[in-house]
Amino acid sequence: MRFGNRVAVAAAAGALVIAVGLGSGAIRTEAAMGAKDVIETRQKAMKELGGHMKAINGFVEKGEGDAAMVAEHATAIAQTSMKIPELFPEGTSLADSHGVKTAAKPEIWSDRPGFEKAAMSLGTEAEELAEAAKGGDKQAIAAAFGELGKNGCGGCHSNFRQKQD
Amino acid sequence: MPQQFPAEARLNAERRQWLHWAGAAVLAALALAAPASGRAQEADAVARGRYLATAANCVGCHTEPNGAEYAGGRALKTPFGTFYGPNITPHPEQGIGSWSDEDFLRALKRGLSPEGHPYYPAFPYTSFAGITDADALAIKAFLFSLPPSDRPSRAHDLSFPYSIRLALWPWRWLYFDPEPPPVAADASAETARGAYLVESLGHCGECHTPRNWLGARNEDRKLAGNVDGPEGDKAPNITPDPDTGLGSWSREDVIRVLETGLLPDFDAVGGAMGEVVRATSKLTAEDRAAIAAYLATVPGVPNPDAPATQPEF
Repeated sequence: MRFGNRVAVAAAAGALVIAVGLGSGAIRTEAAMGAKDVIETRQKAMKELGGHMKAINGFVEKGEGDAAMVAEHATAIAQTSMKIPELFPEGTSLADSHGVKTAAKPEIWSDRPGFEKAAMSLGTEAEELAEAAKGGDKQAIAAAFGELGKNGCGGCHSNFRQKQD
Repeated sequence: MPQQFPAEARLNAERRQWLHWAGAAVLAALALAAPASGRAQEADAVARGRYLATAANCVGCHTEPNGAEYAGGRALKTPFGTFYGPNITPHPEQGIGSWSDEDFLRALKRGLSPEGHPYYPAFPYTSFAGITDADALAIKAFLFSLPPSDRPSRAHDLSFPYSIRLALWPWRWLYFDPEPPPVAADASAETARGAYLVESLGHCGECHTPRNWLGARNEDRKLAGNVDGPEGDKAPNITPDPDTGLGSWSREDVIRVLETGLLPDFDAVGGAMGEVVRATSKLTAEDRAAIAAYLATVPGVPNPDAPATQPEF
């Protein structure tokens, strides 16, 4: 049975090599797919944030909709803000090689506390706008909207985003 | 000495005494009133200077992230090397505390240190040259009201040949025009105010106008966008070109980006402009409108390499 044993060992070893080879290949593609998916997901999330801002601006500039609508959009922004840190996992910066276009600066990871603080301030500013909207005072809403754009969106974009085009 | 009769002498003495007290009262009143009105004037200049310093966004370059305001230190990365904004608090040694009004005007509007050394045009004196002396001195009054910081200024870190400071003399001779761009004779007061804010105080062209290899702004492409902006950012075209500039933006779109940082597609500006919005958001609504009014009047120049975000229709 010595020969049979050897065959079995060789077959097992061969299978292992193939499995490892396939496996690591699979892992590699998964990582690349992962980066692409994550980047696309967060870009979609950012677009949605822009959509909320656009709707709120309609009320502030042209009196479209009402304060309750503003509060809804502001609350949605606050909720998305909490998911921002997890949308920026390691390996998804503009300097990483994943073949996807992104504006995420490496500073997001080298200054993680700063980044998370900036994401949190988006939530805080959005909640303040939601509060102002519940109060119903148009001037207070406009002021809170300005702060949200400047400090909430802009606070993060100033330090952590570098547009590629 | 002529002789005096005793009565006359007594009268004169009384008169003198009366005059003495009256004079003292007037002097005392003047002494009390003068510093009071002087102080009010000074407080007024400080408040005006604070607003003007905001419009010029001095803090943007002269403050380190999380550092004391105006105490210097922020690194400005450019294609020519890294510049560090110096300490401009009124500290007598590390800041500008020993500067006279003349020193300040010469530095701000002519780009020369009190010792007569030329500054690099990273300090936007070529734009500030158009600031009125009264506004410049109000900015000085504001800066001198700040707490002095003893933080030493850091030397610039420039690549050759830009590190040769002597070369700044021929540069000045070639490129420095202390006259601000002329305002059109038929410009409204609002447009003229906008020109002052854009061209001189706000120095928008320092980033939005492209530069040649010697760092001089190409005024034929004024505000038409710069692919080599600070920090490796692109500064977009802000002329009224319809396809690559602000030609398709409404006046509200321009005002909104200055107030909230939100672009017409409701993305928010980032990079250096994110910092600038911290300043422009503090301007009066009238001044933001004036900037929009002036930008609509500059010649439109296409620039597909550094286009502005276009509104979605």
